[in-house]
Amino acid sequence: MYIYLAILKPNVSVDNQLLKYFNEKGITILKIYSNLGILKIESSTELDISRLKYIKNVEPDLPIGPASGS
Amino acid sequence: MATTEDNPKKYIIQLIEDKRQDIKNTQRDLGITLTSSAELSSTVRAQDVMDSGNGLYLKNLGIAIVENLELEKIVNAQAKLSNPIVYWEEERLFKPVDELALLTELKEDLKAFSHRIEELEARLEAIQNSKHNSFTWGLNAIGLGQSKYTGKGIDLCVLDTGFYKDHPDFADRNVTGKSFISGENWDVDMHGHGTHCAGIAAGNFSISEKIRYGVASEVNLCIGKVLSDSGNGSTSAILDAIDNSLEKKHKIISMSLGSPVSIGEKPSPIFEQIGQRALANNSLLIAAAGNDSKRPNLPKPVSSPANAESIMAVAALDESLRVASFSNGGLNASNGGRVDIAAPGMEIYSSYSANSRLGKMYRKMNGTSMATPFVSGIAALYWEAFPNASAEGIWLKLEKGAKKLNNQLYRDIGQGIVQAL
Repeated sequence: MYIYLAILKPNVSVDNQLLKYFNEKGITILKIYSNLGILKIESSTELDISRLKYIKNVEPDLPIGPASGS
Repeated sequence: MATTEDNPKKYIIQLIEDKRQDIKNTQRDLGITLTSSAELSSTVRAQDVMDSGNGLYLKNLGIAIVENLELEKIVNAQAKLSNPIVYWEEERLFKPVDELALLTELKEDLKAFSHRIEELEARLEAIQNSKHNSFTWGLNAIGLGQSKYTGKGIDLCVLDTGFYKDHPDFADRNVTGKSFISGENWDVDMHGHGTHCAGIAAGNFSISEKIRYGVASEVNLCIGKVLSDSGNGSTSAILDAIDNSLEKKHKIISMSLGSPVSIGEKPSPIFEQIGQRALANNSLLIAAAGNDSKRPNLPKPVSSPANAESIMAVAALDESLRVASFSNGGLNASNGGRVDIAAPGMEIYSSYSANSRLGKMYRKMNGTSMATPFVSGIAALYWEAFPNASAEGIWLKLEKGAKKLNNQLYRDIGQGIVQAL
């Protein structure tokens, strides 16, 4: 399984049309960040942004840590 | 008969045998009459027997109960071979179990309350003597001593490893928070980094060292735990926390965290969108530039998420107001990854977590992590002074108010060192 953070294209919202499309593509929505216009999604295959409708960008859920030396 | 002040003492006496002669001997030696429980009735009650100066003999138990008797008489009687007394003791008081638990709890509460009062006394003393208290070098460098603002009424959220909520310096503060790390609470901070950063942004005096170390001492401090107790986090946890902050309309979101990027690498579109959404919602995101550099030979580019155009990136300065050797610079400026402003980030004293591995309440730390909450705290002072300003407006004011530093590159420190107003 691949986990991505996805930015929706402008004027795209989470509705039945999007859910149907995700279903066809084997994509599951894990979390909706409603104030940010971003989704956390899970896909059974690696996603190619050029082949996706409704999504502007995807990137993996990267690790992050504190910014202190000592 | 012996007399007591209020409640007469009762003694429980165990007799070895239940024989008439034994009872007689006991009565003789104690100088009282023992009424057998077999003789009790609705007209001859146990208390009546006791009140008349006599004892009660519980036949089936082989026990006598006497009241107001001289202790010496019992001791002497027991010593006689002819007397059947084998054991005696003063009547014990029994309370319901829940009442005992209540008393124990009350004792604990009183102890904690007393400790809290001591802490508050120390704190009040520190505040009363504030004119004599010294500031940390960082607060002096940003000119906090001249400011009349405290960040009062402004919501400032620190996204980090959590916060040690029992810290005595925050005893009178209403700190709120939420954890975005599964199975870990926001108010424990087993790591310590979050408590240190929160202390710089929103702390006040150290009751231990009588030194002022925090910037916005009356800001509404909100905590978002996005890094685990071991210091690990993910983009999605940060998104979750920022989404929550925008929902709650927090004005300032301070992020002393980052992930290294390569030279030429573009900022994450995810964080660019987040920064823009935050600004549109009148919320300012401030992030650490990162600590990957080994200056002077090897500066590294500003980390993510600070490299996003719409997120304010903060570099670290040492005490001589030069860029810290580890502080990242604007090497990817053409892609948006520039440094916007600088703040103290070396040998920074602040609160720490007693729950951490070090078990300390205070310590000094280095990093752009430490520089970031200085800027966040100052942003709160600006917002208090200009309550109707937009997030972009506050950003511009912070940059405009920054002090230029000689012999330092814009690439490394942006507009200069942040200044209080």
